[in-house]
Amino acid sequence: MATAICEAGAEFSTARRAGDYVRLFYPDVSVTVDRKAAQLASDERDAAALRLIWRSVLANEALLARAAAQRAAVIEALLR
Amino acid sequence: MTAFLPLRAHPLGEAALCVSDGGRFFAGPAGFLDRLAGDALTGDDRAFLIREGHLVDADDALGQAAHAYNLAERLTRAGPLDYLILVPTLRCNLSCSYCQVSRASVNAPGFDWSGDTLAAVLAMLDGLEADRIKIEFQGGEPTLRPDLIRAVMERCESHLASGRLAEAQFVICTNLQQLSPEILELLDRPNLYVSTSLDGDVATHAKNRTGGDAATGVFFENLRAVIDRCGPEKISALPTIDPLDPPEAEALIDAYAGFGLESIFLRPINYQGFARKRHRESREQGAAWRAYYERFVRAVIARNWADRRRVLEETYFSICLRRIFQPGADRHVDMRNPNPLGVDYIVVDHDGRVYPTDEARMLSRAGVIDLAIGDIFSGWDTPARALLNAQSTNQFDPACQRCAFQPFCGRDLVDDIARYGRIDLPRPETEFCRKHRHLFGFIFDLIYDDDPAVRWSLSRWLRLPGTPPALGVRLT
Repeated sequence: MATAICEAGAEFSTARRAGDYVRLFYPDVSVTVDRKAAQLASDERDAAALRLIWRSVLANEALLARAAAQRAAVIEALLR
Repeated sequence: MTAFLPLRAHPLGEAALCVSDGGRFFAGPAGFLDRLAGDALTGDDRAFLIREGHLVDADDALGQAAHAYNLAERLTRAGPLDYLILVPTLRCNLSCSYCQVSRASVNAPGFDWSGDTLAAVLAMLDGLEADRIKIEFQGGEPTLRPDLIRAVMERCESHLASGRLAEAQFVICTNLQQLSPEILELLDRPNLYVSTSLDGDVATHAKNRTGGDAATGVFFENLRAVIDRCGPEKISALPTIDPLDPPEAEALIDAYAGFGLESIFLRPINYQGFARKRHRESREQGAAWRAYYERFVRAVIARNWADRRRVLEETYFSICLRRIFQPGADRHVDMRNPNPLGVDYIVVDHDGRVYPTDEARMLSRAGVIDLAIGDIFSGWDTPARALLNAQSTNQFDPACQRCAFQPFCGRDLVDDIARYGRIDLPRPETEFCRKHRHLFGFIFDLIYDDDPAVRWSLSRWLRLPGTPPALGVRLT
């Protein structure tokens, strides 16, 4: 089993949500998140792949939080 | 000034795929993700993002309009009704173990259009607003009722002659077990095409569909006869694959290439109809199927490179590849977002009931759930249709909002209902999502593959005149 320990990131709530979505999108990956670190493990991926998964999912959470209002405005204007 | 980055990331080997809401994309180093997450972009990062149209500045009206336009291109706008699946009979002269439509026996009464149903279908054709129509005859086995097929075609052709219709295209989905002179006369029409099943070589096809030597021999003779008479472009054939016992990829390709058929739509057994009992494992596809699928596509790529006089493809791979680069190029009705149901496309069953999709028809026939939205006599602009359409988008789903492939993906409520009996499962727990995350991930692996053989096939599947040096942008 490969494991990877990654920085949780600045916002704990963001990191916790990222952990939730790692579990959802990558069911073979187990993840625990605390205020300092996220630990990922999987029998099917190596450590580098696990780190990349964490970085991607964490980036998505951060981007979503920052852009949510503008994204919603664009969609609403189009669907109207 | 306030700028926003409508991007989503996805692991791509050792790099990170970044996709904007409008479907533009690039691959970047893993370190770029950390800068994105930490809101710590460098000057070079920002310059790249601006140049590639990913950074939307609040003071840049043109940039904002471009972003909105890119996004709009990804959203389906349903036009008038112009695509019909008509089921003139549910009777069939075969009995395939995985029959998804739960066909009726060839001599069973009460499974054909009545005279009133035909009249209502013709009246509907008379009232169409679209100037183009595509009609697919499904069943059962529609060639058991060539009279009904001819009646529909002749009504459309009268509208072509009067100028009310500019174009009419017909497809007969048939098992090619019978080719009467009446059927051949229909097939000779230039605007009619044939869709049939070809599961592989003779042995595979016989095992899955035709059973004994006689019926199997008839099918292959008739398939050859139609191709010799009308050309391979007249026919599209699709295999149905048992994921537990798939044919060797090379053998399946050989079976198609031997008939001059270049587009192979690899389909696992559909969890519908008889398959719900006889092939219960078809409810979910696992890693073995996905590995087979990748092997198959790579085998096609190798074949194309070895003989570049001809282009073979896996049909659905090409459709999804074009969804990435060419929004709107294809209109695959099972893969749209939003996915309007019962608007531009309907299914009229043997009893005149109207369904939003063929799979919805199958569920009703199997007694799972009645998803009829109306009937041909009284119409289908109903609360049932409105209820389905209220849910038929992935735009606001929290998981889809975090998925880099959302701009290219769709929503298939009926598939969720068929497999799980509900539409509110977290998306990544559904086969639809797993299938498409795997497929788009695979497509992007190939987009960023430096192998010239891969680039050659992808360029042909994108219908490009040449082969560009690279298909994907990179942030270095």
